[in-house]
Amino acid sequence: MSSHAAVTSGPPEAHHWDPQTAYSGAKLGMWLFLATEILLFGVLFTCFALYRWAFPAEFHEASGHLKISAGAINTAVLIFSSYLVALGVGAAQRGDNEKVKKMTLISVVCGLLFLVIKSYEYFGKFSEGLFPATHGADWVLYFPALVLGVFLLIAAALTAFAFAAFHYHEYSKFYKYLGGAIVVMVLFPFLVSPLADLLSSIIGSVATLPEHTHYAWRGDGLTQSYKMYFGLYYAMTGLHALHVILGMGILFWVYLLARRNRFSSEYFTPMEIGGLYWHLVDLIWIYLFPLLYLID
Amino acid sequence: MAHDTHDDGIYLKILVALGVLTVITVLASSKAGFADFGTWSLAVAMIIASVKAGLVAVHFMHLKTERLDTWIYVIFPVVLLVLMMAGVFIDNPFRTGTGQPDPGVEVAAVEKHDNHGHH
Amino acid sequence: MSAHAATAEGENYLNWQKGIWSWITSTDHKRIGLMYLFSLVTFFIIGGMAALVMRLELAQPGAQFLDPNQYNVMFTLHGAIMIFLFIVPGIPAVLGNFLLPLMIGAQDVAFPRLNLMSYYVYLLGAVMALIALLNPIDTGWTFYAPYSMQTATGVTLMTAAAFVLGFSSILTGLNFIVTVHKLRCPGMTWHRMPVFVWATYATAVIQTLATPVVGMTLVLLLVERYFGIGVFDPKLGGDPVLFEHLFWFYSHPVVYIMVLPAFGIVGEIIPVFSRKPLFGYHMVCYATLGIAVVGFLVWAHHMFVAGISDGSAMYFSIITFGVAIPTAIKVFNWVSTMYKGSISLTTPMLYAMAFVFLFMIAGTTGIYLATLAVDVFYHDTYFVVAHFHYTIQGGAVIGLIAGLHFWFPKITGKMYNEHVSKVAFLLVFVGFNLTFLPQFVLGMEGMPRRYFDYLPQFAPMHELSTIGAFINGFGYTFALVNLLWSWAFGKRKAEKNPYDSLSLEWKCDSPPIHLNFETVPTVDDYPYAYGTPVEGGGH
Repeated sequence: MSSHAAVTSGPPEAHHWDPQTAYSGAKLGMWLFLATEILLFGVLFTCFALYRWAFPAEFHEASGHLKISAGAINTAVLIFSSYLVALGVGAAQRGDNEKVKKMTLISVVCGLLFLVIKSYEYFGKFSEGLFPATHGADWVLYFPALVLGVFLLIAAALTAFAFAAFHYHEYSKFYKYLGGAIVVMVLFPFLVSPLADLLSSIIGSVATLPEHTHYAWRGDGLTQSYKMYFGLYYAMTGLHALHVILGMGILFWVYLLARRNRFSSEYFTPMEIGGLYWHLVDLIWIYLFPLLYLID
Repeated sequence: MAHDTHDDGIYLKILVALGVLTVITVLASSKAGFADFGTWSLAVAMIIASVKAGLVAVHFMHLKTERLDTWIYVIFPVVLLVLMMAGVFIDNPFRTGTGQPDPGVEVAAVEKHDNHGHH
Repeated sequence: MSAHAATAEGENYLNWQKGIWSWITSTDHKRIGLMYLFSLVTFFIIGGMAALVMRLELAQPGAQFLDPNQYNVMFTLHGAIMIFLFIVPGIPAVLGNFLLPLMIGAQDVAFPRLNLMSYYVYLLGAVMALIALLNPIDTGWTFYAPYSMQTATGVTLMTAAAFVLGFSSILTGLNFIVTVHKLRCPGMTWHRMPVFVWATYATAVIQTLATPVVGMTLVLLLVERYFGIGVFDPKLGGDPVLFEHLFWFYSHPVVYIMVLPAFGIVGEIIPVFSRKPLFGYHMVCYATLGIAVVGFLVWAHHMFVAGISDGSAMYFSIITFGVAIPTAIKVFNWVSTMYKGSISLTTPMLYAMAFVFLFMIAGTTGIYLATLAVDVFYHDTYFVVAHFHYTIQGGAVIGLIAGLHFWFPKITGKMYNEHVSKVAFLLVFVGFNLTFLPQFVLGMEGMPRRYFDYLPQFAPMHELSTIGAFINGFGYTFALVNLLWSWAFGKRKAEKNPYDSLSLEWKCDSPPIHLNFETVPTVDDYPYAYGTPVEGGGH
């Protein structure tokens, strides 16, 4: 009967499997998680498919409101960042931690660019009165949304810090950062109003603020199915944007590990599985773009 | 570690291919391009998207070096997704009677009735 | 902690680290399994109380002590708690966690820290569900649109809780799949794994792939409630049947999450107490996978009268007949295993045999329901209620109890009182059948389900059912108290392998040491070679 070979690499403490199995196991685990994401988005694709079949004319007309240029730029941004991440995996395998840092950081910036363009699109539509809530929503204003975005990104960054500490079994740091992320998300509802007011008063003193501050569905003369198109549009792209933020957090986590020179030819698992997640985010957009923006 | 090292050159080629395919996607649509496939436009767009997705999956995500068990867990979920849609589409289009989604009322005419109650 | 530091004499996973902090931060699959067990039993008791309250109310026609809205709340609570908090995590969370690594010769699951996180995500969901009780929902556990979008009760918190619980299920499933693929010990090929491992694996596949669908559907429900986008609300142009399609796409496979592990447990117990190899081992394994796959194809048999097209109803009916085939294969194999075997009627064997009997009733009544014309009559009657209690309780719960008894020596290092456990079994068996056989009759007579009151002609069957429910509850209490008492105060220590069983988990100590095996085991045969001669004696 043989005993396990001593673990020479992998996460710092002795793990119960050898490095090669740990690496392929982590990959299989991440692929399984990607499978769950495919099914998650699949529900929305199914709903979209049904209602596009049911209301072809309205969906065709409604989709005309989307800005194809914004969608195309976003497609290019994500595909390019996917390319960078693939390069990052190669760099991690060679132990080139500097390149890993560059690739992941630039990809995070690409994600940010994607979100900015998306927000620009969203608010364009809100001002056209294409906000899919009959009762209207006073809280969706530029500044609260900006504050929300900043909070989400801070929470993602803190979570990345937490899991970088977790990776090294630094559990007290892990709890600290994770607690910070939770506090940020819990505090957000209470802080958004005052912070947004502060922002708007600062900016309002030097610039004219946009007119539309109450967003509601203003599709006069449009049928309910038109509103349904936009409901599905926001649900699908919104869920996708949430995953972009998650992906940014994961890539930032990889960046933090590269900062500690974690990667070598013997160990590059986090870059690879983080890359897989980012590629999925790209993959979903590859389907969303033609489906929502391009076809009739 | 026993792992295929990847030649970075292939990634650039795939990136270019993806760019070209994206341009084709745009051109092959009637909204922004020159083509008009009518009822086939959805199928054409999804096929091109699947080619792009396949390139990303096989090359960027290194599926080509993965074993059968990983491939099964990529293909089977997609099959399930197709199944989900198929289940809906053997139902709705073949219903007789009036049980179908109804574009119905103009929303502007839907007054602010609070049928949601307290959340 | 080095992988192979020598273990002190008498040291095991229960006592090598003490104190509550060592338990709640433990990444040991065995401790996590026990923590799940503790939580699951708590929720079983709460859900069971709701059932007893319902049965008390239904014992006589007319209002006893509930009003109709309170009754709606009771059956919703009973369903939601039993399903989401008890039986779906169920056997995988408890026995799957405990046994899977042991049975394949591994030290732990693939991602032990993720395993602990799964438990805490489950607890978070459970706490959210309990808070949701403050504004209890009355939609039924199925949350059908459009009522679930209109009711003023706490649908938001409850669906959010279900979403969180779903995450726990997904992460556990993912963990188990990778464990089976990557951590089998040398010699443990797929065709040498115990059927419980096959069953846990098939269950994990369903957990991982089906749960995201219901997660997203519940999120859409909330989006619909808040934004009224119209995806499920007919007033807003939507199709409420779409909600049902998406909901049942998960909720049919979920019943296989509940029962497949129980199939695995029965497949472990019967060969041991028949002293015979499992009949048709390969077919049992493939049938298990087959049930998991085909289980994804049949969901709309829950929707025959919801307004789906005739063609799709016919398709789903035929395929539902199909899913009975692999199950029948397994029943045949279990019975054939017992045939001409040397049967010992120990408590686990009694529960296993009861399982086969009760699941036969469950399965055949399922065939009635799969028959379109018959289902038009039976849908939403007590016939359905009886059917699914035979499958879930007569199947999965009986399987869980069988497993808890069978592996009790391994988990605790003690033996339970066999006499008390047999009396408890009798109470459970008699009580269960007395509760639900009358409900088949009620269904055939046309009594609808989820009804607070009924016509006097239904009263005798309801009375029998209520009496049975209390006997059933008493039986479970008896069984549980026996196990707990034996663990806490029992004097009889268990040997490593008290039943002369051949699978790997019986090669560990009872209870196992922290890292399961002193050295990595190797296997060279499948674990059902009972009754075949071996050099040097033994089995």
